[in-house]
Amino acid sequence: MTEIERISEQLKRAFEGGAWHGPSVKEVLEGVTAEKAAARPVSGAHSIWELVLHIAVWENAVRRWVSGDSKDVPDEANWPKIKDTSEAAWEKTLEALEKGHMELRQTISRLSDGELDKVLKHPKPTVYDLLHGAIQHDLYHAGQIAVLKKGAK
Amino acid sequence: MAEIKRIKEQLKRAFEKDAWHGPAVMEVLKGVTAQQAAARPIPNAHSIWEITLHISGWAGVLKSRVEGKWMDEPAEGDWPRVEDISPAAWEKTVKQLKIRHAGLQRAISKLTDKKLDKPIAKGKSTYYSSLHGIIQHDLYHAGQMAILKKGAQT
Repeated sequence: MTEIERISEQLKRAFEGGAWHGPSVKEVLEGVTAEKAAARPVSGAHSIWELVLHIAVWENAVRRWVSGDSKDVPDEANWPKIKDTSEAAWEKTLEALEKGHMELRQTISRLSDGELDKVLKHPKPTVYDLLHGAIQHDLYHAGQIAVLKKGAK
Repeated sequence: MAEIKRIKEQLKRAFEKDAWHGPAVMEVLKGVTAQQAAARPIPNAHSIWEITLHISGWAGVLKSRVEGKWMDEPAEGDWPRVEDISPAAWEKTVKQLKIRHAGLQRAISKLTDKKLDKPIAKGKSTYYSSLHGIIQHDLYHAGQMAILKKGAQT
């Protein structure tokens, strides 16, 4: 197996299921309604909805960066604001997450192992660190979603 | 770079600092008191203390598996009960977590890249999935502890 193939598989498992550590992003989001997603069971902490938008922002950034784009994620884009908390808007948020994720996987599949140690102009990590970083970022926040889901019940 | 070397670096960053995604396990645990660790800001979710024992136990399981001795789950159980909630007991829990990670790092050092696509035991996950899996496990729970820390401080 090439390292790129291994990374793609890890990313797929982290997002869809079958990950070694436990629940994937989609598994923790199962059964989360718009109301639960917008709830704030721990004051001072983000809501599930905000975390989902944030995961999508960074998956998209990683896709851009490994494709050669060097534009940063501006502070105001890091945690997008939620204006509409309807079920339809929640559906749209989940669809955008899925679409961005699939695009990231397609982009990764076009990379080769020789590029993994390349240091990117922005934001400085190697391609390898960035790709595993994206997987770890997904799961750091998946863990949070699992806790907030319990709190929102 | 050899993949084993990269994995060791990823584990170190996920546990200590400088991980790309954000806070490492020890960064999240910084400043957490025994009282905060034992608190249950979300009633039916695990406490920081329970999660710390859990990730510590699994670091031990993985060390054993890497060394060729299969373990189903930690000897003390998947989610050990917290009996003593004194500051001294919390210090011991955190110390054990560090010792377990150091032991796991040493065990990983003895592996070579050739092993990565092989199952860690018959019919089980590959070394690669297990090693990146333990890193992801650390961070899945670090994210939870960051939220619980916020909940315990307010």
